[in-house]
Amino acid sequence: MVAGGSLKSLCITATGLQKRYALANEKSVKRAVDGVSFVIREGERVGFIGVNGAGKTTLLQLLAGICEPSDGQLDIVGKVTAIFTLGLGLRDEVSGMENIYVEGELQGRPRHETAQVIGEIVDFAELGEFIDRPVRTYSTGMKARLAFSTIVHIDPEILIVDEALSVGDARFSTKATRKMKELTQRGKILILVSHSMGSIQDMCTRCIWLEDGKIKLDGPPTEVTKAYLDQVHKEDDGKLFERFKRDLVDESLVSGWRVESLDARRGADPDPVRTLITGEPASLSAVVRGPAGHGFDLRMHLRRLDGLVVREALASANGHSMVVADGGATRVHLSLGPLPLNYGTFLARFDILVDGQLVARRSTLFEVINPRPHKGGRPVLVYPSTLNVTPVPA
Amino acid sequence: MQPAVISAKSVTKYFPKCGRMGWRALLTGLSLTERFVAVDDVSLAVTRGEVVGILGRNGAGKSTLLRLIAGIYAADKGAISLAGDVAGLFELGGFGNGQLTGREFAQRYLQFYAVKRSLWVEVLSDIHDFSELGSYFDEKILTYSAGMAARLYFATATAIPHEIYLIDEILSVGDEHFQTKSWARMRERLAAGASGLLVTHNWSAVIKLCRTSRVLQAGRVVLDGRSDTVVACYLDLPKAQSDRARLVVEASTVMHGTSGDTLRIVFVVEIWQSVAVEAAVSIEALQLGVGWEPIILTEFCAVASMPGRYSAELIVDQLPIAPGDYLLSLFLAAPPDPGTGARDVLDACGWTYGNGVTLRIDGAAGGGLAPFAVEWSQEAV
Repeated sequence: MVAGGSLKSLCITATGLQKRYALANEKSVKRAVDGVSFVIREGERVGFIGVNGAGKTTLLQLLAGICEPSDGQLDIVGKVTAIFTLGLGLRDEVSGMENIYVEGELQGRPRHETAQVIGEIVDFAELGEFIDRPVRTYSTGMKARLAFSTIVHIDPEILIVDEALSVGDARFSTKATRKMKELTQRGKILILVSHSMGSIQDMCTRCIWLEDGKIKLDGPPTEVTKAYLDQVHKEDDGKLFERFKRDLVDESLVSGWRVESLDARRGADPDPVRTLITGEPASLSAVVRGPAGHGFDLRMHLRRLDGLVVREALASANGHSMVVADGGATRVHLSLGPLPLNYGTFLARFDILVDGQLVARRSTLFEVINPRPHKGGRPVLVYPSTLNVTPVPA
Repeated sequence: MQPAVISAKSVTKYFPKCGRMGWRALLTGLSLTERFVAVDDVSLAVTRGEVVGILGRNGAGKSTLLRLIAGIYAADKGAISLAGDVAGLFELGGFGNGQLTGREFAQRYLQFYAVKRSLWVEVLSDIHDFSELGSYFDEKILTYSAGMAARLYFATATAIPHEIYLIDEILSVGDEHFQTKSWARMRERLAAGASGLLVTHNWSAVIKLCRTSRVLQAGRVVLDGRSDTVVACYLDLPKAQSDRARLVVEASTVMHGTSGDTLRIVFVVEIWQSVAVEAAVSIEALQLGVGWEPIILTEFCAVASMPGRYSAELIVDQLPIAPGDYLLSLFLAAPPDPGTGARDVLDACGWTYGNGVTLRIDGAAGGGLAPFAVEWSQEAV
């Protein structure tokens, strides 16, 4: 590795990079990173995504120089600062204050320079009088705060950030996130690992999707995150039903009556789906079997997985009377309009009522995805509104 | 006044402050001069069926207080009494041995609480099931991830009913599905008359579980009251300067709307400097000890950018909200910084700022919390 000279343009080049681990009690090896090649040039902000175990952390460790590649080549031009390694080096026996100086020296900043900014670092850490006590007296949250604060004043060349790091309580975490965004603006190369597709899209110019230690896709963040989410959702579909099937019912309480099928649909698409998209046309569709020509009423019960009853609707209350067709079955649709539900997992149940009495019922599960989640919170609904403004005469 | 199930009177706990604890001091019992107060003269009482929330930032002494009450630490001063057996939902609760398998851990727990052998098979299968550990239940705990371990402890500690639950953040364990199950189980236990303390910095958990709360700061109780009031003070959201733009809303205003009709909310905005001002509105359902749920949260919309006085009217067609009382929050902010995406809040009014507005919605109930428009139709198979 070469230290970055001011004339050299910063660059990371990986060629056939590999990291193998021997598995305990087994002859086999695990390839955490398996033949990865890429070039990252100055000015690029690259996000790494992938499911747990895809090799993101190992790759980050390789880039940060924490571990050595088993095979392949890694050339880095520039000084690397890795945020996830922070706090590994806190020295338990000395005070928080002294740790700030030491950490500064590790980052190549002499003591007299740290002295100029120490006030700001101490303020940022919000440790109060604890700053003069040995680090071993700190709670975990306090250590994290100290570790994070020590990087407030770095001027990074290549900045590696593992966003999974959680820092202190909610208030400090907001402050830290804001600081981190500022830092990423200052870094000449940014490498970010995150589970938040929002952060990747906000902060990165390029996105690399890792799967089983290999690069699955490398390209603009919007495209790569979309492809990644599509695959994750497809896999989740199967798991969703596996996990919650015991919450599902299919009951016939009076013989002859049954809800034969119930599923969610997107728009005019006749195929059942397990994921619906916020804001896009959605409906529930059921086949009801019963004595031909017999009238019935239908009640829909929709609840979020945590038990919140979001919507109940009775067909007769909306002026609909249902009749079983001559063949002994009928299809019933319930349009949910442009879906106003926010992301989450929902359980929908159709109850068949004859003269007010429950004769059959069935439920289904679906997941709602909101491609543009609200930044300020997670409301139950995503519902349109307008704001009209008129000047008030003085 | 009901008798207290958990009672702490003037409880104080010191920890040595600096340097190593000298062996001389340790052996001779001479008082340590260098010490700091982790919990300082805290008194509290929890009655049956009640969960009291303890909010506080890192290092405020929350966890120390919980461990004092659980009997893990001995108090230096004061008295603690508990009327009932205690389940501590934190760490390994004294059974911490990574060499145990999940099953052995659970067995040890049942043995400690003298659960009848005849019940073991059933309870263990419940723990196995609830924790969703699958085949890992028979693996050593040291091979678990933090989330798996937390699931095991929660499942074990709540498998048999206890009278007192001391909860440290645990309700934020696992994914959404596991959290849902945990909440349901906690509610079940509380409905059956259990009591507890919930220590957390997650304020929404406090709103959902506790009618009253305290805030700990530097070991002292600095605030005590209704959870919503306490949360507002705890959050201590930076008061907007209100020097560039201001919301003109009278305190404790009640606004009205009708479920299914067009909702119109009118508020006045004063702008004093040439600054682009945007507004957002949120409508939230809040019931102490039951839940908190934002229902509608609008995006920020432009108000104006020239000094002056403006009337803003928010219109929501076919208001999809069930009848009841809701809390309304209004925000004024500058457009987001193009780099960081952060917004400068210019003014805000809402319950978290201690100046909320009530939105009273009337109309017919029975369509669920969010009776949005749906359309039935029928066709031949």
